[in-house]
Amino acid sequence: MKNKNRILLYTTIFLIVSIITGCNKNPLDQKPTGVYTTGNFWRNQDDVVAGVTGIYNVLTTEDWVGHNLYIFDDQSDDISVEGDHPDFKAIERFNIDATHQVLYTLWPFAYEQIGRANNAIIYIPKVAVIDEDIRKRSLGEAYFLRAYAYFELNKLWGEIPLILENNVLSGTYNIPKSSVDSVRKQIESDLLKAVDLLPETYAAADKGRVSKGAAWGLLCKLYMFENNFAKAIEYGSKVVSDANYALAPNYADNFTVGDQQNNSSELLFAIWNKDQQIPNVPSSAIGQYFTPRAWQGWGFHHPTQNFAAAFEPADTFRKRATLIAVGDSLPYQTNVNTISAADAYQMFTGMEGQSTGRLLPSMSTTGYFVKKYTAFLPNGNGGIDFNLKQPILRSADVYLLVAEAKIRLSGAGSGDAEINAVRTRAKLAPLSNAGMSQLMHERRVELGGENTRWQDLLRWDKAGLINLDTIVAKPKAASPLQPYNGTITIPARTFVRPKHYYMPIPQQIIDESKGVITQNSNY
Amino acid sequence: MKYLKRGSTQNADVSLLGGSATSTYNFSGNFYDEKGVIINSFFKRYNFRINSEHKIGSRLRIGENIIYSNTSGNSPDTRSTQTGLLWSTIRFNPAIPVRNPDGTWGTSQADNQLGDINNPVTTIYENAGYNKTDRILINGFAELEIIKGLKLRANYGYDQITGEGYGFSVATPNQTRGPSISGLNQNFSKVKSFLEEYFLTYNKDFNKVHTLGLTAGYSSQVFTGNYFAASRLGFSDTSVDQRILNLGNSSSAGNSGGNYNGSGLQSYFVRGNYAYKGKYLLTATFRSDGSSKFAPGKRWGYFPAFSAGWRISDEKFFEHVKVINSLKLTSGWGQLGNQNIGDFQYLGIIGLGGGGGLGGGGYSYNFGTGTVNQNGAYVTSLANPNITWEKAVMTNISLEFAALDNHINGIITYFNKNTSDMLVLAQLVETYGAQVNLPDDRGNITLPNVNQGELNNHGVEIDLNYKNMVGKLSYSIGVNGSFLRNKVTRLYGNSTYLGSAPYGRENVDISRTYEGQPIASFYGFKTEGLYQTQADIDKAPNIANDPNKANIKPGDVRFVDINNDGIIDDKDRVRLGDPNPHFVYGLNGAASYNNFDFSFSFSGVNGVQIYNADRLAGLDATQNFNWYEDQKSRWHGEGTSNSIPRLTRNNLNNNYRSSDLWVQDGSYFSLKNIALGYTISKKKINNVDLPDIRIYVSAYYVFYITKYKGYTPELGYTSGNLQRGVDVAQYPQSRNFTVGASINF
Repeated sequence: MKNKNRILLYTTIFLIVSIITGCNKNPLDQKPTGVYTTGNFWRNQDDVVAGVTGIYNVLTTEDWVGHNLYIFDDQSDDISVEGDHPDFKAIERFNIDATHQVLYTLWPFAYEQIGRANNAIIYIPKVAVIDEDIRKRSLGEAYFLRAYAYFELNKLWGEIPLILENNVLSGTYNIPKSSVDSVRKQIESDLLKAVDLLPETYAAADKGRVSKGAAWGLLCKLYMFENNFAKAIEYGSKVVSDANYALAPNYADNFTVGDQQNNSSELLFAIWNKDQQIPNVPSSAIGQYFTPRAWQGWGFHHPTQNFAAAFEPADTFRKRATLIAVGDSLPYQTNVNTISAADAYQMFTGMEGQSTGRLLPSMSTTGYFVKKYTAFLPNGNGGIDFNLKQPILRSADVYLLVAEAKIRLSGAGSGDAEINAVRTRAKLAPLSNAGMSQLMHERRVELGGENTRWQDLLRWDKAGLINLDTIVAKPKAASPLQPYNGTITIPARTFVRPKHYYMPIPQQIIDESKGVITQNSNY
Repeated sequence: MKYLKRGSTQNADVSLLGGSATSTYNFSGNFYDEKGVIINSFFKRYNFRINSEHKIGSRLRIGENIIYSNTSGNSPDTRSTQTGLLWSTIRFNPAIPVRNPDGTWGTSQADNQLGDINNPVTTIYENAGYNKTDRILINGFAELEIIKGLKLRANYGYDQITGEGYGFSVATPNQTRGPSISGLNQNFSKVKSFLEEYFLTYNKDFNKVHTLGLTAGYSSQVFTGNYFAASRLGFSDTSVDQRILNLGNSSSAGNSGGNYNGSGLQSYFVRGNYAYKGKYLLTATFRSDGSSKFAPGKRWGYFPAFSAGWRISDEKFFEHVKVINSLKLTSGWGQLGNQNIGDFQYLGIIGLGGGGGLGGGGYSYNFGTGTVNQNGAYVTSLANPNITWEKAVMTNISLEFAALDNHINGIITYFNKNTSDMLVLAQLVETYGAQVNLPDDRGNITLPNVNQGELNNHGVEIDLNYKNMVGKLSYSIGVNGSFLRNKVTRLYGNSTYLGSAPYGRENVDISRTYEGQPIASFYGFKTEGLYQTQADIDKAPNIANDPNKANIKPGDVRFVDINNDGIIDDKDRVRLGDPNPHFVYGLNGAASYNNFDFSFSFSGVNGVQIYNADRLAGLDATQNFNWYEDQKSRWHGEGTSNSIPRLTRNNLNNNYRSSDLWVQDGSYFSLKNIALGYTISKKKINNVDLPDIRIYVSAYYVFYITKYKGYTPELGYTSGNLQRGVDVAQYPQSRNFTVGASINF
């Protein structure tokens, strides 16, 4: 009996203790281990810097800024497409279909950049201890990179869904498109925040980050798309008058490894490529796609004679920095090709069977390549140098936008200062009383191959300044020299207005949205 | 083909019972050994169980229950449209021998007209693997009567499962998808949980008129675990006894390990019940349940429930009713919660690292003049910060009765269940960003669950039993039936429907869930036979404006132009069938006579459709696979078939898109089990009591009566709860005969 009482007593004590203390401490307070989550990341400055680096990372993707955005510029008269991508050609010829794969693959990457920026915008303000300059800068970078992604989507599709902080916080991603105006309002608001937050300059180790000047410049461009000339002048002039964003001494500095970093003032926004030296893995999409096939690239984009002929005879510095023509070679280009019968023209006449490192006629359908994204490694292997940065927004672009705004606001001659700054740097005589036709010419040759021509043409056509019909009705042609003899590479095309101002929303996007996202009108 | 074979099962049970006035104990053991119908597939289980209970004094009861089980088995993938065993057995081109005359495995590599799948027999013989688990489950309780009627009870439970996986593949470079190098994967894992529960109950009887019971309780359970895995490639000797990790190439060694996510549950509840003279019964429960799977602020669900009962047969006015022995009406209303989803879906996983480049992916970026890129970070799996409990409100009324001297008893229940905040996997949209969908090419995307909609299930369940004894013959017979209706009453957000996993290599969109329709309905085109002549095509109004008209040939499927625009396109798709049975029923019986006993059970479903996706793949001639035998009776000239399209490698009419051609009646009636036994009992030999011995023969899944032509009409779910009744070559249910004996000491 004594024994039983003892068991009873011990059991009672055990029960009381276990009820009061509980065996499972805070059973709901579980945390994942071994992974970072939105719950335990964004702790400190290192996390913030890494989170912003992650946003920049998306820019390099081939389906997005790394290359595919450039396909749409081939709708212009400057470049024609070659190679094994039928959907690139369909876009160039305005045979655009909502099922084309390149339209679809662009979306997830654009929204990936937006999503990463959204997370940064949500969490950076909550980090407790951080250098306040780094906090401001990082938040500014996130706003800028979100605005940039939305601007590119807006240029191509007009109306698009706006995924912002609230959508991330509430997990609502399947939302309808917003109007063109509200998308642009969002871009403007993000860029104005970026202007406030971003520093004007960076130390050497942080070159490649976006600055206040990048935000001013992109704002200027946005206002030009809205025909808001006063605002375009206001923000563009901040770039023009700021010595931190001066034009590089030489035009070619913007497109040359080394010079890009040394004289980077003009590169307001560029993909700061770095060759990762991984065998068979190109570190930069743009270099891979624009470099000729026979020189280890994929060679999709061939500038037309229409474009080459647009350069003034004296404009040799820009033309040589923009185009590779038959017979040209490049520093460290050591890939050697045999001169075939079809190549034995111009400087190769009579040289059939010999080898050369120069551009041969059989390598280009037009006689030209874009030079701005091609360089070779100095190690002599003939490998593409993926250290070449990819300029996205240059001061010269902003100078000419300011000039355009002034001309359209106050008439011919009012943009002379900005136009002539650009021309003087190109070692050309200044103009006086320049009007829109001179401005359009200047933009075309200054920014050739930089994915601005087609959007300029669309902008000017919408404003009634040009008639796109006549431009696309002119066939794209090859060099007048042998063996091309001015062959037509792309015949006359038909531009349907307003249908072709925007791309169709990819069918897969519409299907996956279960009809929440609707097709653009006219498709 | 030597692929399916007769399986076998062995089963043995032992149990011991014992006890005294203050203690009871029980020991039991079980052994189960099944060899599957796919060669080399097996499952074994050992089970031991000890429990005991002791009364100590008049106030304390303690007890324990220990279960140990050990399983080992392999469950080969049957369904994958690349390497699934059953799928590739059906598809593997019959022009290829299993073995070549020289003894090597037959292969589709011999010619590219032979398809691109592995010889399934090679897959079976050149792969060896198993999964083993050891599980120990220990429960203990103590119950203390503090004062009369007031009891405190505590339960503690510890559960630990150790898992071990082993998979060896011999290099089969002569197979199209065979590994080119031999390899071994091994893994170990441990998951455990601890449960504690406390109840305080008070029961009081007032003058045998009022009975009152009150219970308050608390429980919590925490799950944790960890794992590690290792692999090596390149075994120079692949003999069975040389297949150990150390003999692989050490430079190929891979390893991984980590913790499983912890999760926890916590509940508080109170319950009160009251009865008046045992005639009027009332119960009210309120519980609050917390789950670590949801974000703070979304963790707790509150679930009240009430029920009332009326024992009509205890009323005075019922005294003269002699036919009915008892009659009870009960009605209840209650809420329930469901949190059966993965852990930490309210958090996004963030990856941090380097890498990147042309194809996208990676994390890093270069700044300044540095020589290496800087590491970057981003969300690699999307969060659903709002995820919370799925809730169901259940209302039911039931009538329970016994009649004819209790020979007949039964229960009829009407129920209506409204589920809200239904948890389903999020639907992919591109605005999530690329990391969610591109790297795996839509194969293994990790999307969180979302609280997506509302669902109604209602129906009537009837259960009737009759039992009687005539002389030495006692017998019973029972019928049960459920009439069920299911409808999605609301989908939240902007989506008009919920999609599900696409089928096969052509990504056929089979099941969709729309508001106002049953969940997981089949979706696609309606058909009206096949075009028999070119004249049929020329004058067909359904394709009058169709840009594809010139490609359509006699023998192609005539799809119905639902919207009458003269074009067959995605806008013509409609609901084709309901995979949720409308009537489920069963019939079972048992009888014993002297030492013989006999039992059977039938079951069936009615008002249900099956989507035979495997048949779609089995008739599609665009892939170089084996076809269904039905291909012989395909259309090959006017009037030869109106349901099996012509053979074409180009398939320009897309004859094998999702359509009612693949939707079939899924009703069946089946004998699930029948058994006959004989018991030899109470024999004494030399004054020693011999145990009771029962010898029996039984059979499971004896036959199906069904119009359905596939392996089995019982298919289950294949994409969460959003796809059901789709035949994708699931592991077949095998007919099973058993001869056995049980011994009772």
